[in-house]
Amino acid sequence: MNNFAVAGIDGYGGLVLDKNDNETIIHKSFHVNLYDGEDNRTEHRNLAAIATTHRLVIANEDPGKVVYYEVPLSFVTSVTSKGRALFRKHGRVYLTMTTRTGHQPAFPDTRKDQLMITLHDQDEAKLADKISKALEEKAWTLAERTRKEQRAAYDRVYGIGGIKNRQQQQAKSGDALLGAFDDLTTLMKEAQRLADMAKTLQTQQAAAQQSDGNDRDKEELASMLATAGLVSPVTKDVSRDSYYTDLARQLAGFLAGPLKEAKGMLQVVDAYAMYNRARGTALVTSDDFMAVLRLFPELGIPIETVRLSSGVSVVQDSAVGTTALLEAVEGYLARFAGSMEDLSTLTPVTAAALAEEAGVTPILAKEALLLAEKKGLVCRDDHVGVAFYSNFMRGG
Amino acid sequence: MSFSFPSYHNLPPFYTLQPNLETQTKQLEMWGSLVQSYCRFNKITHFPVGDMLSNDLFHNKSISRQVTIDMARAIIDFMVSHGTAQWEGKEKLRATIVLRTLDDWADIIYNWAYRVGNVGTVVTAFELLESDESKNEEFYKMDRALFRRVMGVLEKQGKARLFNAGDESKEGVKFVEK
Repeated sequence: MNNFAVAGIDGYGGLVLDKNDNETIIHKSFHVNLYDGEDNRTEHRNLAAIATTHRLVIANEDPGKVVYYEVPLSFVTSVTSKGRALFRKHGRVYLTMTTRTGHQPAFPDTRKDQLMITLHDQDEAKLADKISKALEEKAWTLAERTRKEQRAAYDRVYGIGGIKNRQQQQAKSGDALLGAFDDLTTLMKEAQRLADMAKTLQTQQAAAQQSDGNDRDKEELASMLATAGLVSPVTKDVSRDSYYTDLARQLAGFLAGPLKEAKGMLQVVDAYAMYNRARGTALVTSDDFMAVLRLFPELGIPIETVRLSSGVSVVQDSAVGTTALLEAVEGYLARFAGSMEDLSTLTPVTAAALAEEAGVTPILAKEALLLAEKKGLVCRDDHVGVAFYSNFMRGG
Repeated sequence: MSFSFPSYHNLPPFYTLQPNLETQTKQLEMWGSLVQSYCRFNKITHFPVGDMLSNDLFHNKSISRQVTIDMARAIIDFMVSHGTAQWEGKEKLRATIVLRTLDDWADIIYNWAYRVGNVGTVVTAFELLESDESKNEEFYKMDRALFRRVMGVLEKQGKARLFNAGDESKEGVKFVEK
């Protein structure tokens, strides 16, 4: 059965909990494997199992590949556990589920109606216990019940239900007809007023667009309307300048951290992906992203966009620039590539090895090595692929 | 005893023509000296470039690296521009390696003269170049034309005087104390 669906994550790679429903995490197990029923084999290894008051979530928490899969506890019919045994050093939790429909199915997929989770010894009892409790408490229905009550209460006073109520009451008091008309008329008057106001404002805004009025006033008008829920399609254009400027400042602020970690240089594509992931929603288009990067110099933001000789575009901390790359190469050479005092100790450095050691992407590592070659720090060995050595053929 | 290669002969980059020009110049310089030393040791003056590629000078089996024909030509070109080699013909297939400069030879012969006590005496070219006593000397059986040019250098330095130049059976040299 395909009971699992991809669960939402926030901009920082964390699981999104339903705050309205007071969903909380009640247990988390690490290093779990998932099995289809009692199968012996599985590809689903080294995952995390997170039990909340409302769901069971299976997580792959490899950095850069974080993904969560969820199944609502309402579909779990039973949960049991078995401790370790003579030839079995892991604890097991068994979950029986009914079929869930109407969602976008995702791994793990079980053919049998039972999912088996293996975990660290003794963790199985805790997880099973927590899930059991959650199944008893049925926190997800609590919200439903509360909502029903609230809706009922609301309906008694407002809306059609409210009108009906008052009609009944007035019928009791004899003013039925009059009361009914009164309410309906009031409603309609209100609706008309809103419609008129909307129309006026939109006309005013359109006029303001075309006029050579103050940009700032246009912006204010646009944002006021936006607050009132009236977003004109041209809003983005009207405040285009400030949209990009604000975006630029926000992006610059965001990039500071990642740039520092990446020794002052990131590939544009990586920066773009990181930024959009952090935003979560309202993603920025690649065109907008590039436009914003181009704004940095004129806004005095010390981040440059540079196209390297290999064709790769990078964003680069102006202060750091290529120095960091060269230092990374020098550092690697000094530590791992032997000494020039004894040429027989010299060993090669590849882009891959440098990337891993210096914590940069392989493409940037290659760029660093090419730069080091230009500066005469390293020489190359072109045999199968390219490797670099400390430059023992230095002039002078 | 075989030629002992310097440690950089065992480093793979030495066999890749370097794209960085400064590094490349130094690389060709290093190769030039190495070729000259190797040829000197093995008394090689004729250098057929293609054939030499499989020689252990250009082909280091222990690291599986070999100089390409183009790089070998670049090395000889470099040597030519520095006077340590000459191309035979236009096709750059064969070269002659200059093992010693005239100045080198002049010093070697004068030092020999000093060593064996021939300064102040007259020695025939034959005795100098072809006698048994000279069998182990580097100039043994030197080409006469070259010999005359070397003597020319010593004459300029005031260390020798050539007699009967041109007459192979009679030409001789007097070494002068300097």
